[in-house]
Amino acid sequence: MNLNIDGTTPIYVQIAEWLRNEILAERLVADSKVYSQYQLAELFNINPATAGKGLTLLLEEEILYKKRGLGMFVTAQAKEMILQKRRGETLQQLARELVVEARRLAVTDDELIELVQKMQRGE
Amino acid sequence: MMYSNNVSIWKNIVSQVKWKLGAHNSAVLTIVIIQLIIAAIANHGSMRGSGLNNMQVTEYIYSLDSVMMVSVVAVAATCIALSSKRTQSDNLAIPTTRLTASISTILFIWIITFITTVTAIVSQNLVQVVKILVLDLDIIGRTLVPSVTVFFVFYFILLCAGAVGYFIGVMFSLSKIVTILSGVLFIVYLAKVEQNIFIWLLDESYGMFMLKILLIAIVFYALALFVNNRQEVRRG
Amino acid sequence: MLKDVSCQIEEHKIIGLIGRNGAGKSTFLNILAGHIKPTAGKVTIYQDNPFNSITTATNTMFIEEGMTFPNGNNIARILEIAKCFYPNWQQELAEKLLQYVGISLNGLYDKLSKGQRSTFNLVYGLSARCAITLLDEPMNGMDEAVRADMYRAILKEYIAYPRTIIISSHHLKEIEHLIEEILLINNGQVALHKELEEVQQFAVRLIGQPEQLEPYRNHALFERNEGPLAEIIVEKKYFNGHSSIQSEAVSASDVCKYVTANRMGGIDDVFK
Repeated sequence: MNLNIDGTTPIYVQIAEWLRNEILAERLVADSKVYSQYQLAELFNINPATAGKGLTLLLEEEILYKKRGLGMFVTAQAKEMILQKRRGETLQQLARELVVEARRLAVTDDELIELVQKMQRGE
Repeated sequence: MMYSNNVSIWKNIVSQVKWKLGAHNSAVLTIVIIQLIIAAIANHGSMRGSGLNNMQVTEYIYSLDSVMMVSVVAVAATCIALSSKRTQSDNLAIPTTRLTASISTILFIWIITFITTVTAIVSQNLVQVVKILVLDLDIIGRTLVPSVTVFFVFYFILLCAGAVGYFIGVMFSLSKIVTILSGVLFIVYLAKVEQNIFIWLLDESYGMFMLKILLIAIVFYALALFVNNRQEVRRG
Repeated sequence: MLKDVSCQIEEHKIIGLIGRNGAGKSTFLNILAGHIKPTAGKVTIYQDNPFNSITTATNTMFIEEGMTFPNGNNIARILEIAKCFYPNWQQELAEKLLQYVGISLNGLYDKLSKGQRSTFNLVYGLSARCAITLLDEPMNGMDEAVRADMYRAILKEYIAYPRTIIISSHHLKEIEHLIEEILLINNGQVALHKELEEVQQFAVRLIGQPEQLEPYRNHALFERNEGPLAEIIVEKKYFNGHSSIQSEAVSASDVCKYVTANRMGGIDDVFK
């Protein structure tokens, strides 16, 4: 498993992001146990405390919940929340960049919409 | 929160002595071999005339002279080496403090001087037995049973040699120039001014001699301990 | 060597001790190990003064390049001795690791190559499982593959038996994944002591026209003027998010580099 180690994106953020992707891909489903901080540490070759921070982040986002003495589990609404958030943030961010780039290249709004529609049809 | 492991100073010293005996066994072996060689060579020739003195004990000392000389030199040299930078640095691979390192070294010196005393006397006897059996020489007036006095005189002399050697080594690792200068000055002083120190040492009964030499040894061990404790344990 | 070092290190963490050559990293570790007595100040490890304390010595492992073992002892004997002195000694682990890296138990320590010596020292240091493990540039001389393995070994051992590990390096990138906190020493002083993530968030690189960046110049850790654009690194707290200035994250390793740089403009100044 490889992390982006250019040192600008905190490792724990990347761990959280990886776990979110696992949930989206349904390799981790609702109420299933997620990796412990030590398992994550071994998996990614990182400090367990750093892995723990990634888990805490998801705990705060209510994507994970804690069972005392048993570990952390995926909440029922986890996948939905991640999707919502990604739509809200990631997609918006990408769209913003797309629009900026389109303006720079003097692409008209219609052309842009047509391009997106083409992509969706898979051409 | 505390450490999970608490260790007594005494236990550490005992472990260190054992460790040093293992680490320096070749040094002890070297001394013993030198003793054997000297005992064999020395008794063969010039020591024949040693019977001049009537006292049996004196005769033993006399005949042990050459073995004694090399033993003193060998023990002193070993003890100088014991306080070398390299040996001190080796010491840091195990848990140690300056105090436990010095005390265990001194205990180690006491043990090796004891061993070399025993081997010196045994080698002497061994050579004589060989001579009687193989060369068919008749050695008049000698006993093969070592006397307790001889043993202790020999042991105390070596203890003293070890103390002086160890002290020199400790001083040497502190400052080479100071050690050499003060060494030279001391010898000059003894030779020129204070010649009667040897007379003071030898001119009495064995009991007094042993007491004096033991005192000197204790002074040097204490000095070495003191100097060493002021130094930092550090890898060179 | 050290002038003004004041810090508190919590147990069971892996700390990266970072600093340029001669910054005082080794002196700091020597003091913690109880090998050097500080000329001033106070050091306390678990309520104990480490200097000349046999308890600290037994619970502390200090691995550095200059360490030696008695001449003529083979590796097996060195391990045997360690078993007598270190209560938590892991003989099996030591043997397995040495076998893995190809160091023979029958060999002599003094005959090992520089890299093998470092590897052996580290194996020795990990197998002792001391509550406080100080590693001074432990990977010196090791080849790339062994380094990676050894970093992983440190991590695995730490997970198996959590302990306080301080690992020094002048190369933060290499140990970044392993550590929880950074202790940056510069000119004998603590320049930074923060969690890794905080160091990663510590500074920003601002890129823009020189006059735009003018207000930030008096806080600059580093600045450079190349053609029409200027570049300034400042602590994040000084930057309020001015929209026409482009800002970039600065990696922890760069933060350490800029904080300890003794020239504002770096190498470029020399060529002016």
